[in-house]
Amino acid sequence: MEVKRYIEVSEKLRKLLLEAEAQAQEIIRQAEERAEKMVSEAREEVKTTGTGEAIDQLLKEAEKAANDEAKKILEEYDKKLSQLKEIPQEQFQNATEFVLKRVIP
Amino acid sequence: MSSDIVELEVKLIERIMERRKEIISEAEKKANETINKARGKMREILTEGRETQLRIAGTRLRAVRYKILGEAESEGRRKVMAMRQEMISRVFDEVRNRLKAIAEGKDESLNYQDILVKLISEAASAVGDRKLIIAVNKRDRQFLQEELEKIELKISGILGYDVKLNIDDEPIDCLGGITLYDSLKKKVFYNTLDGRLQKARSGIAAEMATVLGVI
Repeated sequence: MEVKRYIEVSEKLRKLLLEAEAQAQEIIRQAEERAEKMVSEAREEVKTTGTGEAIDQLLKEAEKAANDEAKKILEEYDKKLSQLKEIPQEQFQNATEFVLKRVIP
Repeated sequence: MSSDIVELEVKLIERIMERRKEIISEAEKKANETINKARGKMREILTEGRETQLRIAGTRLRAVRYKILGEAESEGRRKVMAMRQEMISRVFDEVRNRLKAIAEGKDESLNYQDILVKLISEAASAVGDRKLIIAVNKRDRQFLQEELEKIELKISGILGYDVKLNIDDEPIDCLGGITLYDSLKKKVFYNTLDGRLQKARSGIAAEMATVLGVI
């Protein structure tokens, strides 16, 4: 009678261990599944933002800043042009005389 | 049931429960390790991705900036260069007008006939012969014909040997000045005002631009 009961208890305990192992495997499987999802989501995120609007927006801003800078550069050159146009008549005469002296022996 | 059996059962149950706890605990530990590894991998992917994006974006941003600024610089430089050339041309145009006035005797500050003698003397010295043919424009031809003997004397005096000048039948098209040949027309020396102006333009444009103040 006692032996029979011992066997029954042992059987229940063996099932308990099997259930624990199954539970452990499920825990690991879920972790692996979650890990895989994390990594693939990261890859997807990189892929999406890499080709996306973020860079286009940056480019638009850079283009605008460069255009503003280019405008300033051209303004500086326009100032130089105005200075060139306003060369005093005396300098013009000096240059003419300078060339004449070289041409006439 | 004897107390020994009960005690044995209790020990067995305790051992199995302990083992069960160990199995779950090991699985949780392994699961945590897997998640932590995935977190690391995820961070690595995001960091690398961001770096790559920044690199690509940086290159494109620089290219856009250089293109726009480069075009502005080129356009500005081109305009300034064109204006410099225009100013330089204005000076040379003025010099040409002055030379024309001098050659036509309309500029009293310079004596064109003296200039002509110097031009002939310079050319004769370079050609080196005693018998020379001189080509001039129609206007100067008349003057030379009238003053030929005097000019020959002047040139001979300057060069230190007798020189015989013959005027070429064909007039040349120029503001003034001369083209001089030896008697066989094998040697030629171009000394027109136009030629000298042209030579000056290519030779002293930079110096003149400094005098003008455009450099």
